[in-house]
Amino acid sequence: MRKIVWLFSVFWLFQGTAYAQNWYVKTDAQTIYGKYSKSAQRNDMVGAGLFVSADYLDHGGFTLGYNYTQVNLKAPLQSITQNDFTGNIRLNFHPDALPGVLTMRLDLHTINNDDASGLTDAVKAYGSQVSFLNYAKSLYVDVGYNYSKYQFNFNVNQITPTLGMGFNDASEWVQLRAYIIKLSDKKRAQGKSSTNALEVKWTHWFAVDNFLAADNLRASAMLGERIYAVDSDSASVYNLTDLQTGAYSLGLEWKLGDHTTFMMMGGLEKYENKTIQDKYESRFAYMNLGYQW
Amino acid sequence: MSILLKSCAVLALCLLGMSLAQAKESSTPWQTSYALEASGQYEQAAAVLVPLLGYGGSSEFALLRYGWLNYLQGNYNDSIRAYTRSLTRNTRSIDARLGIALPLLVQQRWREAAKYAQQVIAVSPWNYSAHESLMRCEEGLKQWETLAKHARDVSSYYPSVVAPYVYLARADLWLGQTDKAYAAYQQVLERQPNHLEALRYLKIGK
Repeated sequence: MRKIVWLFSVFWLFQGTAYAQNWYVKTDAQTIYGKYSKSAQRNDMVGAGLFVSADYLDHGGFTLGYNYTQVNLKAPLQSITQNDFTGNIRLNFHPDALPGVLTMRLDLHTINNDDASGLTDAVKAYGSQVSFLNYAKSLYVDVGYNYSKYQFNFNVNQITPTLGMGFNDASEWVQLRAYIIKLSDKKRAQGKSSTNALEVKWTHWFAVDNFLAADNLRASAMLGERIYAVDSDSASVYNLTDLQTGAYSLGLEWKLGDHTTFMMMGGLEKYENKTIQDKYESRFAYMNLGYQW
Repeated sequence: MSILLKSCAVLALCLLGMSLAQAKESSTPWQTSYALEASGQYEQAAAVLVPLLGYGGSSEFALLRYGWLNYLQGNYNDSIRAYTRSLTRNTRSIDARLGIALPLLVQQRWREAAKYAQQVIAVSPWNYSAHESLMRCEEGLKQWETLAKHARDVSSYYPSVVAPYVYLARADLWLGQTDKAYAAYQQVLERQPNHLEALRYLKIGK
């Protein structure tokens, strides 16, 4: 609770000072509900989060975020309540030798929950990313590296090379991200010492007078397998002990004036727990409300 | 006779050559810099100003020119540095603020460029260059409502200029107000009949 108060204090600090004119602050409130099907252990999950991003002109900035998650398990198992604090800092560079912006970013996640086994509790994930976006906004590349540390001597190394391309007069964007994950202990990772997955994201920006009045449509799919992944786009850590064997989502985003965005997304995630031979799915609905101050 | 004419011509050429050489020797760095800029030699035009960039009486203007010549070369970070140094010499300078916005706009640093444009507007409310820079920033930041209102205001102060109507049309288009965009593009064609963007929209937009 103190950390949330601190988060708001930082926000109001910037709003109330003479420096405010050089800082651009954005807040995002989000909520998610997921219903598990065919799962031997899980019923459903709910989550809510708040993110505050502040950018100093075009030089860079930082983000602080908090996510609360509750996973309701089937009796006699007890529900798990989780608090995830995340933060990142980023710096932008505009070298004359490159026709675009170079960004360097550092991330930190700390996760605490009341998982009785302790296997998913007290997680720390450290991330770094170097990215390049050209001025024409038709090419994006990044390389990310994450190191996640779990209790009882278990750690995860993840490399995420990413390629993004814009085309069709900047109305389409396709992003491909590979998740190459190395795990320090097979027994903690469904018998896997490494996993590979490819995430494909497609964004289509609508012509202005579309019947949905939406700004853009997003679809994504994850192929392959991954476990203990860290998603730098959504700033989330999959600290679940089960293997993720697929994920699909579809979302729409609306721009409500110059300051406000609203997004709705639905999707399906597939998991497997090899230990108890449990293959299950999670169908989720997600909403995000963003406001640029 | 022809020998006399030839002798006179040779003498005249010699005198002309001597006077040009003298002029070159006595030309100031400013003259040399302008001449080199006019011939497209921006790097050399900037180089002759380097000795003037210190703390002398003309350093403020030398820095302005150095910033401009680096902008022309595509050395945007050097350009920004020079304009910033010039601004520290004269904190009231509108020229330095408008100058610094140029490389920032190329680098798509919309917020920084907007900051300098707004500083100019604060002391010179209807400075056209500042408003044009600011409209470009608003477009880059996709602030369509702000841009539509802003471009409409600018076009009322500068009714003969094409650019505010182009920005107005683009903003109205993004806001889904196609009739207003159509009208704005018509205004563009009245001022510049061969404007490709307006022609393209009016051909296929309706």
